[in-house]
Amino acid sequence: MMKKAITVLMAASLLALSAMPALAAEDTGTITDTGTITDTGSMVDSGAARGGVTLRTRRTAAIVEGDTAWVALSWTAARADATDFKVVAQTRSPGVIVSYPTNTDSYSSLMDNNTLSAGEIDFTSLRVSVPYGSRNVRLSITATWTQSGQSQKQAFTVTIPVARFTGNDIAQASKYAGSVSVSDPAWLEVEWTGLAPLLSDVEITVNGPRGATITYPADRAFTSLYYNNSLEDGETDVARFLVDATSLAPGSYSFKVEVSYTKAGKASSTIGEFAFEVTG
Amino acid sequence: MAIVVAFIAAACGGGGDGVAPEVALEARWQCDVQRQTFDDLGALDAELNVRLANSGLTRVDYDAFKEELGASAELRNQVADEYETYCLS
Repeated sequence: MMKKAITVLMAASLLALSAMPALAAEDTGTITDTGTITDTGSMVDSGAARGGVTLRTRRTAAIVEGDTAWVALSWTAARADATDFKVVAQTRSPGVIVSYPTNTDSYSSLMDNNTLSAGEIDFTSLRVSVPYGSRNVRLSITATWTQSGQSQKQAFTVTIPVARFTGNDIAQASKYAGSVSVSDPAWLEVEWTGLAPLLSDVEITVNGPRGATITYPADRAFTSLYYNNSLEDGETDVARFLVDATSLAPGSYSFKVEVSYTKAGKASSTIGEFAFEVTG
Repeated sequence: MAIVVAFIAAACGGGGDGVAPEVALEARWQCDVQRQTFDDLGALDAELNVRLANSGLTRVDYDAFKEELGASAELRNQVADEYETYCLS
């Protein structure tokens, strides 16, 4: 009985809302959320009578300094369908780069198509690169669309919070470099995982046991990573070096491996230890 | 249309528990997608696929729902209501 009563009450509410479409549309202008979605009430509406669109996202999820990530902006169209919906973004934050999906290249549209139906909620995505040392980023968003046969354009502002990176920059991803015979040199390898958003100019040097001869690719004074000389957060890459162990007796040994890199333009390094085997 | 929906809701005992899974999924997805960042658009897609799987839906189901959403103001209202209940509370 209670469930039935509640159901009837909800049905009545639905009837009431359906009778007042103007109220439902205007309601999007006063919604406030204490979380990441905030409407400060400063939206520019092209006019409830003509339609317009509402940007629901005024503050995106945070991007860690030094990182590149995609963020989503949520939209709703009022009263009439908004077709050919496009969004471009600009910023004055130094070093911040905004880019778009490859299929649209110079703008972003909605995830499934370029139409925001009246009352529909959908999002556009932007790729944002935030250099180290950035503060919160302000994006100036320009949305264009066609609604009720008229071309529309509206400007909005979105904030991207920037989080500071804390913790270790890099971690040893393996403990064993491989084995080498006393009679033949062999390429051994060590793995590292980036933890900071971006580490650049990675160079690796190996300090082996007395009697082991280390040679680096292209006869350089160091080796670097296989894929390139940088590490992004969560990326694991491998570095290789040639070991000549002809002067060593068979057994277990270890290397000290130093990884140097730059982060936010500053040089830094860390040292790891890797085991290897010399076989007879 | 609203009267028909209201009677159906009343007859079927629809209410907070009676929100269709696609409606609930869409509302929560549209809310949550703003609250996280993604390494690439593939990761965004993967996140949606996980949600679909957890809801017992396929991508085909979702695509059909999105098409229906574009054609039905009532369905869009349901998503909007669920969105506001989930996202702004």
